[in-house]
Amino acid sequence: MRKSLPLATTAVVGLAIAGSAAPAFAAEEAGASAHLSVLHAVPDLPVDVYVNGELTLDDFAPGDLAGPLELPGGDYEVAITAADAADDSEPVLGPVDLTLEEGMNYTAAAHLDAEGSPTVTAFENDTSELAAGEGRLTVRHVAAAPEVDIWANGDVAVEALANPDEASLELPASTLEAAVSLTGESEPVIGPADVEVAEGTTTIVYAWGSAEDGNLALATQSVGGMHSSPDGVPSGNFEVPAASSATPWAVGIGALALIGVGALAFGARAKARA
Amino acid sequence: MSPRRRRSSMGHPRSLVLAFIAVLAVSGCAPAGSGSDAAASFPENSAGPSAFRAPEAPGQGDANSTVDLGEVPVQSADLADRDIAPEPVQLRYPDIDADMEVEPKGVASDGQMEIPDDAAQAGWYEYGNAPADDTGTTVIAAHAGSEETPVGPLYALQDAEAGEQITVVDDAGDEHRYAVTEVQRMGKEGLDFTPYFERSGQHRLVLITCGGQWIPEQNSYADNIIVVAESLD
Repeated sequence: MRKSLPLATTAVVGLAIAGSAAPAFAAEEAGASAHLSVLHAVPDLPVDVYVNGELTLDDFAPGDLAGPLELPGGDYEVAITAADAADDSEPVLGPVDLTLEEGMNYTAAAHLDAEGSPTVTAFENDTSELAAGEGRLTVRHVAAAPEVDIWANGDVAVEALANPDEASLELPASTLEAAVSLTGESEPVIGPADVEVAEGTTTIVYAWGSAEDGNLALATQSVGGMHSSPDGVPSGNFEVPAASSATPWAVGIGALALIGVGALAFGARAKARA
Repeated sequence: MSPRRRRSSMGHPRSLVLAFIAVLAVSGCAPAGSGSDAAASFPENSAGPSAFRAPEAPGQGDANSTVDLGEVPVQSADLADRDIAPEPVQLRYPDIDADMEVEPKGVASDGQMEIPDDAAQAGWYEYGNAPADDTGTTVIAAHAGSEETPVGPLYALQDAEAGEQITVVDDAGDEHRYAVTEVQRMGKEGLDFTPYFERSGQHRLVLITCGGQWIPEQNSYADNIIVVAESLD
């Protein structure tokens, strides 16, 4: 059965730019337009997605990620209908209003809330610059499940994450063994699975599906281009011998000379002792 | 992710006499690194998703109704391995008699690029572009000299001249050819490496070593020698 939201609870998603300053990187993006990706994380519900009344994603399947769409900043209306709908007059989700700010990067996720009802959450993706060698891991709870702990390489990295919250960490680029458990438990409900935290990239991992229906899973999204250059290239910690003394015999003479000096010094000390 | 092949460094004949003068090698070319903290940070649920707010101003969403969205790429969001371009394994620069093995290198804890200890060995910045990429910069660096190899092959980079050809071989066996366009000697103090580690734009090769004045107090050369070469492929 398809679930539909009563009009009264239709959410208008306000993309408040939560406190964070616009990333320095944003200015470099072509035309400073906004980027919008759409994640379908409602199990068993193929849909069509309409943006401003136009069919934009046809037969969009659960577990799929669309985009990024490059859009001028502004307000957009997104409606999600059953996949066989003729138009967007009877959405199963929305319509929601998205306010996209130029230079920013967003993911609109259609997913289940903690109780299992379909909803839409608009996430702002962090595209601020990363230190050379590091990647950013963002985890988002969009599953019909209670609070969860996120495990990385056998340790709890994020505790008590609730639907539809997110947490981010920056760490040296690597491949992590990630798992999700219900908060306070150690038995994974998802994973463990290898997640590559790529350098200069925000890797977003979504826990989606439904605990009750036993179809919890991970989805991933990568947003690249946040790299920076190393602070230096320390390629000269050794003084290259001058051309005239680069040959072993010259260095050998130098060494002999030093040994000679040592011998003299030794001699001097021996003398003094005498 | 497929593990990257790491090669052991080539054995080079050592001279005991040479080793005698080499005990000094300590830190980098320049203590320029501002030091990045490699430890993971765990901010509390950061910005978080935007809050829902009550519907208002009906019709405002129609403001951009004429926007042409075109074809939207759709992919599975399953965990998947990324395609990794073959990494460079050999650098040949005949005009300066350089023929070196290349190994992938990342970033040291001080925020500077890692450089192979032996000057006979070159390091490829593994987070940057590979020679098979159509865009961005392949950065390869080596020490000017080291205990094992007092005069490293790239020490002669200071004599590089525009037009000279360089070949990089990747581990798929493909040869990528470049021609030198610029030879720069840049003071390391405060040098911004951003232009040399570009990951977009025209594909090119950047070779880096050290040179210029030796500064004994810093156990380092004062300058980076940087050679920029354009792709001939």
